Amino acid sequence: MAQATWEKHTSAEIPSHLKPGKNRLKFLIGGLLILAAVAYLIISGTVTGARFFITVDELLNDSTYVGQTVRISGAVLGDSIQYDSEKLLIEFTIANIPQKFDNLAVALREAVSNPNVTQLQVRVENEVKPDLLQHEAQAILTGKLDENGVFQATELLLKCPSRFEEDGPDPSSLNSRSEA
Amino acid sequence: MLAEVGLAALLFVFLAAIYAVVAAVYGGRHHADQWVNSARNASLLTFPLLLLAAVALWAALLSGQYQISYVWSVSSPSTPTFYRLTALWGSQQGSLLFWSLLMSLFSTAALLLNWRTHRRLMPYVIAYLMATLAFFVGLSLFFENPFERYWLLPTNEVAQTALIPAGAIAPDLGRLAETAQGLNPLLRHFGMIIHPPMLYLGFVGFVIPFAFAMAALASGDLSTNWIKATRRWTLVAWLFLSLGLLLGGRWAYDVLGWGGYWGWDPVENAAFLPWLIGTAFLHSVMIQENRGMLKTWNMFLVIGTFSAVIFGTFATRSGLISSVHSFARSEIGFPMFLFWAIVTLISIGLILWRWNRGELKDDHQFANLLSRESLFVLNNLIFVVLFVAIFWGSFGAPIISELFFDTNITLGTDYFLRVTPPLFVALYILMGVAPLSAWGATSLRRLGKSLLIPLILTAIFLLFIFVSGMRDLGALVGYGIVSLAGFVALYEIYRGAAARHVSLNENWLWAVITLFGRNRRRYGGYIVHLGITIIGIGVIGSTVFQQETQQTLAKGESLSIGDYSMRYDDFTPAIADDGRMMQIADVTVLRGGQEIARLRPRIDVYPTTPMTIAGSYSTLENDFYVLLVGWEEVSQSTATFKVYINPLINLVWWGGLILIFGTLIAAWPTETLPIRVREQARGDRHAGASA
Repeated sequence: MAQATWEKHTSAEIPSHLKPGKNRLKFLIGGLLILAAVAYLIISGTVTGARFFITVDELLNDSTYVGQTVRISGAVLGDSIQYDSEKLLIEFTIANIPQKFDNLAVALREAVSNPNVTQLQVRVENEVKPDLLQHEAQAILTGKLDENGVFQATELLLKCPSRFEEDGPDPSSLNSRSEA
Repeated sequence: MLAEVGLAALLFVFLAAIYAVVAAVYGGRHHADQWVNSARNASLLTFPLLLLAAVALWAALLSGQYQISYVWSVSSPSTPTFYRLTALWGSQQGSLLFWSLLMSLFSTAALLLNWRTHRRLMPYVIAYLMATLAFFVGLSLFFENPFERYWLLPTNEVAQTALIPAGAIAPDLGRLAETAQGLNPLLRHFGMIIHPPMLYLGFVGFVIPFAFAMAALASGDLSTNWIKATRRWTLVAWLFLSLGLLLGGRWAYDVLGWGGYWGWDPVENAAFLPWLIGTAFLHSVMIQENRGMLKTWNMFLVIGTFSAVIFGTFATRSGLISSVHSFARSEIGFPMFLFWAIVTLISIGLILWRWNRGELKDDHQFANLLSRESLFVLNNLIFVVLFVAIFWGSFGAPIISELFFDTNITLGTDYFLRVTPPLFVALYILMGVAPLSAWGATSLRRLGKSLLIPLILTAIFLLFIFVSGMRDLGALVGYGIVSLAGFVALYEIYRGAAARHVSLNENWLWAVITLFGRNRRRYGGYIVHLGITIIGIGVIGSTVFQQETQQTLAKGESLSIGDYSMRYDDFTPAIADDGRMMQIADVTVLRGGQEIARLRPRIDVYPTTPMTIAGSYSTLENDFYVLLVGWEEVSQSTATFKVYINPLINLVWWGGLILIFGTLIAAWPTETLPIRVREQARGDRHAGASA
């Protein structure tokens, strides 16, 4: 959208108001140079910054991802969390959550409670344990899968839908009282 | 009862807004004043009604009506009163209502203040404002209703509806109160309490210039009237948006505990995008006012700003983008996207229509590459490029890769750290050069001559920091470019004051005061530039020279970082008033052997989540920022700390205050003659013209 507005500006506005000649050529060349520089900047930035955002299943089933920096998402298994605060080393296991789901909280609950779901061990070095690293949180990790099958993460983001996006009170808790 | 009052108020606002749109368009097209007046009256009704709805929700929050699902989800019996008040914007439904309330406040003020002065634009201004308001109130009514209540159905299920389902009864209120969760602990911070209202004021504020621009296109009054009418509104919106961004950064720095304030997260970027285009717009309207140029471009910028506001709201609130900040996945995604697309398409359609009729022709042409207008265009270009680059990184690449390539590609901070710095550098250079150039044409020689003194000052400044031990070449270049812009602003103020001092024989202080009084906009702008310079210096310092360390200390042991050292003294768990456990480490910060501060980094344990609260000792030079990250569970004889030294970070906040001060100077109302006198003068002029 923004791209379109900018194109509109160059193609429709400036040239039509300039007399043909030296000035127009100057603006044209200047504009093209700037555009080329910007295009280079954005393309090279995209190439260095791009990360495939994939599931645990995709990561483990496609060998081309080994050693490549990727972003993955999974459900944290609370019992597996180990934190060495002296070395700032965090280790835990995540369970695969599918690419598409309707409700994040439900998807996370299914992932942690189903033993048949693919699991992956994660290691994060030199990070303070985030407050939200808890059972059933969604972990979004950037890093690489090493040859031992452990995901070495350099960045760790967490979301806890079950904590902050309330589903409403549990019907059973309300019913029991009203029936009593 | 409160829920019914709120629901009824919302419904009436919705109807009044829709009626206002219809009446205003009809009245505008048929030049029927009574219809336009009626539309205005309906519009003026929306604010008191929305206020009533908000007061109903506040009352429900304060009195703990946990049957209302919103109250249940953001407060609990132990929530203090203060957080009950701010819980109005603590979650999706309430914050949408709050958003509508602020939007109708702005609309009301704009209608009242500009009613007589811009009569011709008014019907369409009303139509655009009220259509937008109707949309947001509609979202509240039909998708994210803050007044929905819990009901116990005959089948023993719990339903959540606004109206009473057949045969349902109210659940046990005591039980509901017991299970209520309370406000998200991350939001219990001063910055978070005023950050959302500021951001929303900034966001909704841009609806006013947008509505006036659209009204200009629709009514055919394409003079600079709409720009004159909205200049202050734009500044006010920009001010609040800047304040919202700064407070958000401050909140992240204080609460999120990673020692930084900006993480290039999609949600942060979504709020930054309208700021970028809005800033471009603030600059380019000056060209239209002074030179009658860039008429179409300004239209695109004002639409782009509002469009970015709506898009950002949509992206944040629909769950489209996964971000630590985003709201829950919500039903409002599709309607919001539809609204955004329709608003954007109608606006662009209107521009093309007027442009095609030749009504947006510019009065002047670009003659000289170094003229002020050319440099302003360059500034606009770079703002828009920044916008495109950040939009692409946050939303473009992920969405396009998913739609067309069936993969999901995201761009990390690497991307932003590579792409944005050169663009910011270019902006700072322009901020230094453009104020010295002249309208029409500037010769390179003249420009060089006026740059001479700021350049000398910059060189002295750089020499000073070089001598004081700074050797990083990149940072020196950065400081040089950023400070040049600041010295130019100071130099321009000095030049203006010196001229008054010499020619009018005013003393210096008086000369500066009258200088600002005579041209608030220009000199207020220079103060803003100064603020941006100081923010830039703070950003460079805190990014390039941040130091960090982590260490486990026994009681009495110290760690050292930079020229600071920190001693672990004691560990004192405590229980706060609201029942949360606090694990507190007592530490002493020393510098050069002198005790300078005692800090208490801590971890608060809420029922749902722990929360790390940093301890910090702040000076203008740097922040000593310490996090408690672990401790020996039984005896607490050892504890682990992560410590950051963030140089110059306070300049970011101080620069922000200067920026706000400058914006206030630029936006401050000028004294005008009473309306009656002005109208008489206008009447005389008209009479003279027709005679």
